[in-house]
Amino acid sequence: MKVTKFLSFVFIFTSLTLIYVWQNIHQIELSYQILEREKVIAKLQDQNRILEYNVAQLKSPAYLERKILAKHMGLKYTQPTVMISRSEKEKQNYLNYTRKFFLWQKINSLISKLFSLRSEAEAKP
Amino acid sequence: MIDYQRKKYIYLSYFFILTGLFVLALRLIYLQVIRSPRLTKFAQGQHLLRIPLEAERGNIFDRNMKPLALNLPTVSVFANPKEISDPYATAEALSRIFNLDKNIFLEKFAQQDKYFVWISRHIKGEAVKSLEKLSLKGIYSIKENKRYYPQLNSGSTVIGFCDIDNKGIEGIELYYDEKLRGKAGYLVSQRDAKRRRLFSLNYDYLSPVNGYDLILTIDSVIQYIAERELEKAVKATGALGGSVVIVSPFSGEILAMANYPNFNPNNPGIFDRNNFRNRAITDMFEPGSSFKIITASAAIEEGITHLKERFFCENGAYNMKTHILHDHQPHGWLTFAEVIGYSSNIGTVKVAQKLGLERLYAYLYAFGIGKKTGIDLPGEVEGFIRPLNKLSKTSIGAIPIGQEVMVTALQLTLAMCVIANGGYLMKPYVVREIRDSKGVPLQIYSSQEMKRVISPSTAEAMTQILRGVVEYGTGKMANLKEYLSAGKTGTAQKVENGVYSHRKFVSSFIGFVPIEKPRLVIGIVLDEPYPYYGGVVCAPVFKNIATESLKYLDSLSWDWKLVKDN
Repeated sequence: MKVTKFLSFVFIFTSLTLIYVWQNIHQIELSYQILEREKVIAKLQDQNRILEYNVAQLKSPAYLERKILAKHMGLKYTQPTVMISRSEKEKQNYLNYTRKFFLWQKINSLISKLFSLRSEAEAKP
Repeated sequence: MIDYQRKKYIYLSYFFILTGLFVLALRLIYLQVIRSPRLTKFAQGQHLLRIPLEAERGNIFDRNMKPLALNLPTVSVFANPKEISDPYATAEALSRIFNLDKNIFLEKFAQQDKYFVWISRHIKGEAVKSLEKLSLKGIYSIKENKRYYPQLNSGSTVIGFCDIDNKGIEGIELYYDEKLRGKAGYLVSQRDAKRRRLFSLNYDYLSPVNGYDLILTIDSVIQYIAERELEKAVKATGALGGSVVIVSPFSGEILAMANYPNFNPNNPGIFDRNNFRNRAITDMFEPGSSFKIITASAAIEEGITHLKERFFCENGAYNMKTHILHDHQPHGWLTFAEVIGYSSNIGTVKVAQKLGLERLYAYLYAFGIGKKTGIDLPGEVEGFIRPLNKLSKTSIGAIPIGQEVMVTALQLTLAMCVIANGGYLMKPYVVREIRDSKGVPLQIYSSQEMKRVISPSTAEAMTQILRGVVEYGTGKMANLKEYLSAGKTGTAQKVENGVYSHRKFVSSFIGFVPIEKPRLVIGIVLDEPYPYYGGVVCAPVFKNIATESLKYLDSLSWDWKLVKDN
């Protein structure tokens, strides 16, 4: 009888102790989960703020005006069918032409500096 | 015998056990009672974590709640030099990520007396990802807020910007820094063996108080229109710079304050420091003919003259004994309205001679000249009026036509507001409302009349005169198609080496529209434009700004659903 009482007491005491320990562990696990959720919320709030900034920029008068201007300029992305590729010979001829052109520009400006007698005319009201 | 020996051993065992228990009890008392405070503190240091909670800086909005300044999350990197085991390898890795010389990092790691040294503040996405991949020992990242300005250059000289620690440096960010900053808080929380924070309600918590939000009087669309037109004019005329001020005449609200050159507050470091200043309130200049509105108002208010009184303008050259005063175009007989309409210096000076400098001075002060306007922006200057007892011999021929006196663009625009609103000098203001982070208004600012300067009848007469300037006078290029405008041109010589220059001018046009019930008073000032006549360079800017701004203001009252359906 006494042994039965003692065993029941030990059983109850052990159970209660286990329940208490489980509660503490569960509380810590829940706190980890809460913190994870807080991190997710903070991340979403940050993303929201970035989106708000992007919306504000996209709605700014400067951006809208540029967009309207670009629309009316009629610019389009180029298509492969409209691209004309030059042959190697044509490319070389073009390069030679541009080199001769810039050389002539340099000589021209040297000559005009040598023979120039006064500064350029001033604009008058 | 055996019983006695057994009992002896039993009692001896009892004695040793009890002694051991007694020693343990003493040790327990020593630890739990005597050393308890120190050990508790030590345990708390290990188990508890004090986390500073950053207060978010208040946002800035325009009058229509469009954001002008926001906070965005960024990542900053710091190092604990004591925890870095391999400084060379760590410095090498960081130099690759941040594209900097590794010696910079080695110098930081050499500071072994510190637990915290900054590596980089507010870094971008790619660098953050690279750092996370490497997981370098002793290198940590922290989340910080950085100030961003979505309108870029628009309004930059008014809003200002913040430094790397989010402290206001210029403009509204500086003036209202205390209200915007907020107050940091902290949270004391538990942490586990891996130093991870545990959610806990039991410990110390001081809530951070976020900074207050500011709602400005500025309309970002009108601000943009003003900035765009000003930039075009400055570039077209080769001017050194310019300002545009747009005021609501009946309230004193600043609808726009544009300056050029300006800067991008998201990256102010790449701009010249001169671009930061708000020229409309920090730069003073001799206004020239646009100042005649004050002389004319004073003369009419004092009953010295009336619109139809005729003055002989000496065919363009008036001998004032001390010097010869010239008109830009010779005129004969002109009515007083025409004197102002054609901006005759001679006619104006003759009126001023009848008025007298003392009475003129009273009106100068009444119009707010020579005093700060009290606008809620930093750096305002008061302008300059020569004291009455220190006038020169030429002063009577100079002050009435806007020379020998210095004003700011804002002062001149507010002087025009007096005429536009029927005679009251208004106090200008930029911040309309202060709200807390939850949107609850804390302070609302409303219009403040400083004083009555001229009577309504004088204001009415001046409106007719200034309408004439735009209809037939020097300001024809400010004439709008859809609305009636009024204003005054100004072309003032700048002082160079102590004498008035014949090459450098400050050009201005100050006007209001529509004249029946003015909604906008617009002041434009250009510094050293070419050509230099105010009617040629500034009046068209007024026209463009007024036309677009009024179209925009009208559109605000449209029923957009009807517009869309039709």
